Amino acid sequence: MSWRAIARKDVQDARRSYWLWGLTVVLSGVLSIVPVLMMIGLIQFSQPQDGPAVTTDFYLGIMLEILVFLVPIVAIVLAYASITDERDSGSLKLLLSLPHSRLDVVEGKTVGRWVVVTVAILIAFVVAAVALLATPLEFALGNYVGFALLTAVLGLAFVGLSVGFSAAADTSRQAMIGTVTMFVLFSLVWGRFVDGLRSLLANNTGLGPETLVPLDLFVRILNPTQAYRTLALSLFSGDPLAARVSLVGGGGLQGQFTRMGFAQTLGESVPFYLSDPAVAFVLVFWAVAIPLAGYWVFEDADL
Amino acid sequence: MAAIEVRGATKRYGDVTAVSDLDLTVEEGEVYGFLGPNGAGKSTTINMLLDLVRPTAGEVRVLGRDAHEESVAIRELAGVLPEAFDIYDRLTGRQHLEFAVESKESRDDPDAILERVGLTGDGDRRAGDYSKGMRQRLALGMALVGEPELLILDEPSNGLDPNGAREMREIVREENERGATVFFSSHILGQVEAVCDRVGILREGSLVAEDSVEGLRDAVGTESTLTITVDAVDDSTLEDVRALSGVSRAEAEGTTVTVSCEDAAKTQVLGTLEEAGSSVVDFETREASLEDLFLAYTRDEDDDAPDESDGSEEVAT
Repeated sequence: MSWRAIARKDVQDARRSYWLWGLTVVLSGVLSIVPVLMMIGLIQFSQPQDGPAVTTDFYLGIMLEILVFLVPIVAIVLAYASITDERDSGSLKLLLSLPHSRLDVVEGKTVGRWVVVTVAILIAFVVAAVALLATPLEFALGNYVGFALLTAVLGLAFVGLSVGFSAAADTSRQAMIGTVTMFVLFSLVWGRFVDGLRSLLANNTGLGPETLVPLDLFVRILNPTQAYRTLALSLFSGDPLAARVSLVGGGGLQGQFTRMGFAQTLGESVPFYLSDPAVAFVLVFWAVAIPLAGYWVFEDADL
Repeated sequence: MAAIEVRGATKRYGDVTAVSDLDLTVEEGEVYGFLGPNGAGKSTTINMLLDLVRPTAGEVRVLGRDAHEESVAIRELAGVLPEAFDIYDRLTGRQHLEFAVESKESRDDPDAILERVGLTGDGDRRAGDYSKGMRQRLALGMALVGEPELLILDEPSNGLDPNGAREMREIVREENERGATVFFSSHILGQVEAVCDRVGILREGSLVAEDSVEGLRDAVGTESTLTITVDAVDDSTLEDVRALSGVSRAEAEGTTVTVSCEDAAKTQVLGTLEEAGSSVVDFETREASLEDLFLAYTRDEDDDAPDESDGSEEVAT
């Protein structure tokens, strides 16, 4: 259980880190821009007289597209050097002069940075909530809390990924290159990769849409940023099928046709491996499996 | 059971062999000084004891346990001051010690340890503001947590002023009296001499000498260095001195003659000088020190270690 001591020390250390508080301020600022602009009247908004009131879900839908980029960056910055920094400076030697195994180190660092990133994200959501209360938007508390927690889980996934790379790398530079590569892969390349894969399979194998459509979506949700996005959409709409299908296609008419085709192929509901719990499992998998994979390399390293 | 048992340990990094077929035994209860110049493989050896580095070949056991398989158990019983370490800049000194106490599941009082290593009053300062010597003291304090059976100290005097180094030796002595085995490395013999029961000298990854401090002193033999001030001296006189039995070296610089010789030859050296017409103004005898021996063992230009049976070997000064 000595990872607990390491995690506690790591959090203690981070509490005095300018990076943590700087990034918390950035997150809070980004989440508060829209409500603050509404408060000071730069965005004119009043609830419609007839029909349902506009809730904070509307605001969260906008934030979703920002956070899906910003949270991975924050998590990477907070965690990519978690182990390599200690290795570069030599404090790892002090840590390992005490009775901790290397697994304790990876676990303790992972949990410590999880706590740190969760604190940063939750503080930002609390700050934004206060600002939102001063706007005409109707506060939908359940979805707000759910979305905040889901965003924290995205943070955990990228912290896990970053600590894993930090454990496997020899230097902070290597760890940074590794994590940034993953970020670019997930944020910019993954969608095109899946599109390419699907058309490749469609053109070269006899597989029909009844196989290719679920396969396409499954590969898509393996990407933690897309897993987050589709879970959030499912949270707002209560419609997992629409939330999964919305990951496909671009803007315009063509994208809409693709999505309609996907929805038609899937029929009434999504298979279990595309269900909300399955997608949530993907996020947890990234949070937990990559640190363990990193440990596997770290265990054999000469320090 | 030996506290440290290394059998045929070799560590290679690519083409570089840091430690080569090393055998080393440290008995329980002794203070063992592990000497050698920088780069001799001292830290690599210590890193193998701590499982920071895995040997390419050979066996390493600490406190009867396998250094790799049972590393955590070893570190529960041992206190370690690593070399080339760093402290956590943002944590205070006390937080460092609290972390060590928690990690070792000990009940030690961080303040008592701060006092013991001379950091009373500095416990609430960020360790990042500590001087190099204070960081060294803090790490030594962390090593002392939990009354370890074995202390492994890698270059513990690093960054300490002479007073600090003396206090460190005092702590080593106290810990040894309490019953702890102490294994510490240094590239400076003077820091080891006073507290060690036994000394091992490592050179290019192998142990080239191992003995008690007295034993090593004996190995130096009876060679002394005579420094003689004369009114004048010429080369042929020096030749005469060199020709004397028991003299290994004779050099002149101006009117100062330096002669390395066995104790018994001293009178003859002075006599020879007088006979040749150099009148002796003053002279001084210095016994060869362990430092001379250490240098002789570790100097690069001389590949042959001095052999105690042969008094004519040159001992570097």
